[in-house]
Amino acid sequence: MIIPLEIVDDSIFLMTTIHAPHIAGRVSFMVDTGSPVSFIGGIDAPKLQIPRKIEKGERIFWADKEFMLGKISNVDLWVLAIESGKDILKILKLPYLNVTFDFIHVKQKMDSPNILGLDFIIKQKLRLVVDGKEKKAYFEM
Amino acid sequence: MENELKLLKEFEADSVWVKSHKGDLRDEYANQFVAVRDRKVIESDENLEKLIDKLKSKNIDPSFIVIDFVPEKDVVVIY
Repeated sequence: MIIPLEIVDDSIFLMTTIHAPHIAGRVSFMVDTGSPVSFIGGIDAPKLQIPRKIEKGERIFWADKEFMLGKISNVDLWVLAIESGKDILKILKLPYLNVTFDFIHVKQKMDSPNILGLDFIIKQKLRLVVDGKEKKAYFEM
Repeated sequence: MENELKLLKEFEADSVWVKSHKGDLRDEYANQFVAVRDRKVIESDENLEKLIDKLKSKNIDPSFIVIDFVPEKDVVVIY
């Protein structure tokens, strides 16, 4: 089974529908193997109407800015997958997902992407394949 | 399930469209947040919360559409 990824402007993205208690919506994640944590960024957190009083997590530095992370629990990511040549809906279960808490990037009028880091790839036991020649990328399960 | 797959593909098309057209969008929407549906900007505002409120007032659920920021300059951010 593979999960197709999109390459746009030399970045790799996974499109998902996210479901968690009292939270539902669609989110485009940037795949960033240089990040040890995955999180929803400062634009999509308010878009998804995630309450700001969520469980407080750690502080991280990312893209030279300090972030306060919160956590939402019991997250399902619905993704398009291809199995035996057929499109299917695959549900990836996450015990929790980090969320930016301070919205620093939005205040500074910077882009604030959602990140799928190496933690996601390892926990989901995925293999990331990037074909620079064909400009294609996908996860293998 | 087929409907969810279709909606996810439409979201993907909108997301790719806005990411690959930021240069074109800059003329009209520089320093603004834009909401995109069917490869068109349906609403914009410099303030993200106001944009979300505008969408809600039109009975559009912001959670399920693409919202992105159009920077004033073409800046490459290293993550």
